[in-house]
Amino acid sequence: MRNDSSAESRDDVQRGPTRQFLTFRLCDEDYGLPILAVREIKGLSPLTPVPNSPPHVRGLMNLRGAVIPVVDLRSRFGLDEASYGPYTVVIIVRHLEKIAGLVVDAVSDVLHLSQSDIESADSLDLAIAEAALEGVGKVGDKLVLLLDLDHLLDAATMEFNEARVA
Amino acid sequence: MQIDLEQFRAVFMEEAAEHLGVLERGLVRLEDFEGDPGELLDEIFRSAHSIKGGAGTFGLDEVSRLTHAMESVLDRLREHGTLPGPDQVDLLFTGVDQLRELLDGADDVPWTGTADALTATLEGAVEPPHAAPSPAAVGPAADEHGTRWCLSFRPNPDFFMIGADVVPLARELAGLGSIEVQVDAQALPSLEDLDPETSYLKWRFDLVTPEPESRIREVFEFVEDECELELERAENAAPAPVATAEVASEVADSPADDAPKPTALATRRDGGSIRVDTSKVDELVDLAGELVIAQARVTELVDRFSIDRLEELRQAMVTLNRSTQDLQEQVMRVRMVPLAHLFSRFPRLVRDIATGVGKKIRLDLSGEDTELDKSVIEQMSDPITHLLRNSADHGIESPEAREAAGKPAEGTIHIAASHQGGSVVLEIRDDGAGLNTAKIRAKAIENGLIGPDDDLSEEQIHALIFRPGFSTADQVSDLSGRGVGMDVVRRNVESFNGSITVTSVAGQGTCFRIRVPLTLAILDGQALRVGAQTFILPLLTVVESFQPSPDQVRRLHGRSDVILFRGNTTPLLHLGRLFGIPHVERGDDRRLVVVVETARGLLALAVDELLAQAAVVIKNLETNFRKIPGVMGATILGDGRVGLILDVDELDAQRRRGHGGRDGSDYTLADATADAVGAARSA
Repeated sequence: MRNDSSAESRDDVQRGPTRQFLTFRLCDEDYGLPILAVREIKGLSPLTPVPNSPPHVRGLMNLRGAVIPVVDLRSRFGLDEASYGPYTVVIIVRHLEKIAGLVVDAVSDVLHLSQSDIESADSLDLAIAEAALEGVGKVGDKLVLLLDLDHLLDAATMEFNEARVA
Repeated sequence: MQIDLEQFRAVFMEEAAEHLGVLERGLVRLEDFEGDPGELLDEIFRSAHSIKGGAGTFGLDEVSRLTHAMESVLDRLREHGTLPGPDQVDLLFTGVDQLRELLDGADDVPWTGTADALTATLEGAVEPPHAAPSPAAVGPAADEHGTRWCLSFRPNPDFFMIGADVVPLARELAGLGSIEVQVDAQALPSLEDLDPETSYLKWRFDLVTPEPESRIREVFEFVEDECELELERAENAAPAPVATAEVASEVADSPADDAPKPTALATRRDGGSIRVDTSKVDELVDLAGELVIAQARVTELVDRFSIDRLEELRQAMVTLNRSTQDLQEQVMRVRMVPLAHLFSRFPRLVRDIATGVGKKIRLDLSGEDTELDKSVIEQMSDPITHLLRNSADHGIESPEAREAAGKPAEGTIHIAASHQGGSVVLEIRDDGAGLNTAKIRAKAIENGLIGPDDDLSEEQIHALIFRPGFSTADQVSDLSGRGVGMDVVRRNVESFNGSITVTSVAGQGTCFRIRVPLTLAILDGQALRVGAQTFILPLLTVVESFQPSPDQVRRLHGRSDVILFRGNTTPLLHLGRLFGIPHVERGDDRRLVVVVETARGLLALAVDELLAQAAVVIKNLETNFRKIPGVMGATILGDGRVGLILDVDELDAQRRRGHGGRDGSDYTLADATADAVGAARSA
């Protein structure tokens, strides 16, 4: 119940004339995350693997004393995997009271999009791994894949859990 | 005027639980009270009254009616300055139980109406015999005409300033019967002198109602200090005295058996809120201030750093560290609540058991001010309750047996709490018969826990009662045989990283000592390495570790490994395989084995290396992630990485599940997934 109301209020904020997205690169494509969900951007610190978890859950990271899962988005979307280096970037997001890290190639900038610039995922009928997509944003001739954290994180952190039970 | 009552409701529930505690303790004291009980009755009354007030606000009608009935009984006692009879106390106790049940259910179940029977009984206990018969006192079927009352009601001038209003009062009165209202506006000044926020009016209500006077007064309960209220029976020339009947005789007649049986002490819900002493918060604020100052000093030194200021910087860092540490300790203290919270329910428990088995038992409590982590306190309730039950039921002898043994007829159970180092020690000591060493020994031999020729000290024999499967139940008639469930108690205590020991002297009594850490958030851990990963094992579970010789490890059904260890066959679990950790080849296959104690016996874990022992801070994995099977939590290791803390009971359960699945195999579905993942990752 509580989640519903917070989701609602978030939508209210976002339903304004323009919405802001943090954009990042993944395999030479542009992706965007609702900026209100982004807490910070960090370098990758050493990870502790999670036993019996899907490959895209790369492990647990110490974020100033908090233990958070780190999800590799390339792996999550079934793209070619890249090796981690000193410039590997983690976007720390907060979603439904939980904090998680997303490994991306590089962070680009902040994008303002009005609703008319956004083509909803339903109408495109795209199937990026379990439809973790809210829509596609158009900036000039550039397309930005706008991610939906609900699907992205539920699938990454919870779905596996359920699969195990079943 | 829509106020969100929900947030206050939680506070009310919490306070009501506290008031119930006070009420219950008061009642226990009242039973053996000598002298003038006035003050004690006042205290009990106040608690009941506070519950009633809150319940009214939140529309918990049953609660408010029941407390009201209890109040009436108490009020009568107070008026007469008499002590209640045993029946009355029982009735009041039943009321407390019922209230607790109602309040516990208040969050999730609708009102059932079960409390109304008790309310009626209680009301019957105070109604004068010539008043309406007690069941009718609450029912709507009462005489339609009832008594005619004349009320004169004059609010104080600042009546409206406190947010009070006359209309709802009048409406509530009207609900009691038929009513006529007259307004007396004589005091109303002329318009230019009129202050709209001042009350000038006076009302006269003519009310015909079957309800008792107390019910009418209740309408004005929350404004009684803000008004002048006169209430008299209109037709009776001489106003009837407010119930003069002897309460004791009334109560004796009332069918207390109809009331639901007292329920077991409700287990508290986890989570919830903590009420923190303001002084603790003030200290936190102070410490946070100091931290900011220390941090500003460091920042300043770093901004304008030159090498000759190195010593200054070092000093500043020391201050910063100290402030940080102080702040951490103080934050931990916020979670600490006094044990009095836990102790409050025990007098009642001991009283009930003692009454039930016809013994006389006094319960002494000391060290109630000792503070412990809230979650520890909540979890300690069950084991201590069990121990108390044991002591009262089996430890303390019957009065006759005690006198025959030259002891006072009244037995004593003493619960004492004290700080010892980084732990709190709780002693539950009785002056009963003590443990029967011979019987325990015989039982242990029968159960195969010890051999018939084993040479054990008395202390070692007593410790056997905590072993799983040990029970002397067949010698004991009652449900909680001495020794029965002691392993459960021990598991309980160990689940919050505590430990329990027993000392006993035949004929003089038994003393259980529970040692618990100050906080759940810290655990003594044994770090170990599997492959390239570090795990933490709770030190309490570790029995021993050794390097097995090849002939100690056997493979059953070609799949499941066991280890021969001290004459036992202990299942062997390969942590690396279970968790899908790529094995780091070391040439020899003789890895280290750590034997741990689980809820269902011993379990051997194959690991690669034992690392240091250290106290670790437990972090909840579910905060940001999800539960990991076989893991109870995480911690931050010395190098800043996350380390997983193993849960040996779950590891054992996972191993057992594997048994069911694949013919004696400890290779579970999880293993299969893990191996696949592991292979994918190392590829």
